[in-house]
Amino acid sequence: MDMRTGGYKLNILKSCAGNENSVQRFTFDYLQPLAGEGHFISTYKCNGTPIPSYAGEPIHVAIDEEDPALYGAKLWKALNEDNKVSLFVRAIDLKTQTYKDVIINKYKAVEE
Amino acid sequence: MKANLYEFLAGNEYPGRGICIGKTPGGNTAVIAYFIMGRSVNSRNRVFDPIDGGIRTMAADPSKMTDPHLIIYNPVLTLNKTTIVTNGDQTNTIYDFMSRDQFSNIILKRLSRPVPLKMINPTGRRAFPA
Repeated sequence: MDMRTGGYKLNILKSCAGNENSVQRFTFDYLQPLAGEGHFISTYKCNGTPIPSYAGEPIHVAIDEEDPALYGAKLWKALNEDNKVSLFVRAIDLKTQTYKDVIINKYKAVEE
Repeated sequence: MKANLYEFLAGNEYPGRGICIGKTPGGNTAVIAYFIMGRSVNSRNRVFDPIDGGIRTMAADPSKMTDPHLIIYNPVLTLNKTTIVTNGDQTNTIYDFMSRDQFSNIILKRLSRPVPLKMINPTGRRAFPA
């Protein structure tokens, strides 16, 4: 992500229909992202055995929050309670390129 | 048609690791979200830990870690004005390649300066009077 323009590229690297002998790379280039919009990709389409890889274009999603902590809290709440582990959110001020990071961890690090 | 990511995630028990990038409604802020999930004890045994310019994954309890391969990496790094987010150690690969690219570009710029390099002594001043 270019922190001056907000433009971003998303790349998906996967095998062809699960065949490890055939690698595929998909790059999506979002040069002029619009306010309140974004794109989402994930490793899997959904749960399953065997688990199905992500397929297709990134999903065009709405972004409804300005504040990274509020945005993070909503995403965290939406993620499956049993399976979620950690979430990171960065908000970048495109004028100054300064950023604010938010981290949410389900588990606590054991003090060594 | 824009999807509601909260509803999408709430209705999907295991998308695995996910990245969402875009702009806030005001348009002056870019946002990046990255999450990890886990089904096994080994992959659930993780926390995000802040490092300079990004985060690393760490074992929550190092004594319970059975296989660090694929679960310990830097998901987020910052190189000058670029944020790099990936779901593995390719964050570092991209960072290294971009650093080299930027370095090459700087060298190219220097080579195309009006004053030839051989005319510049190590302090950057002209070696010979013009």
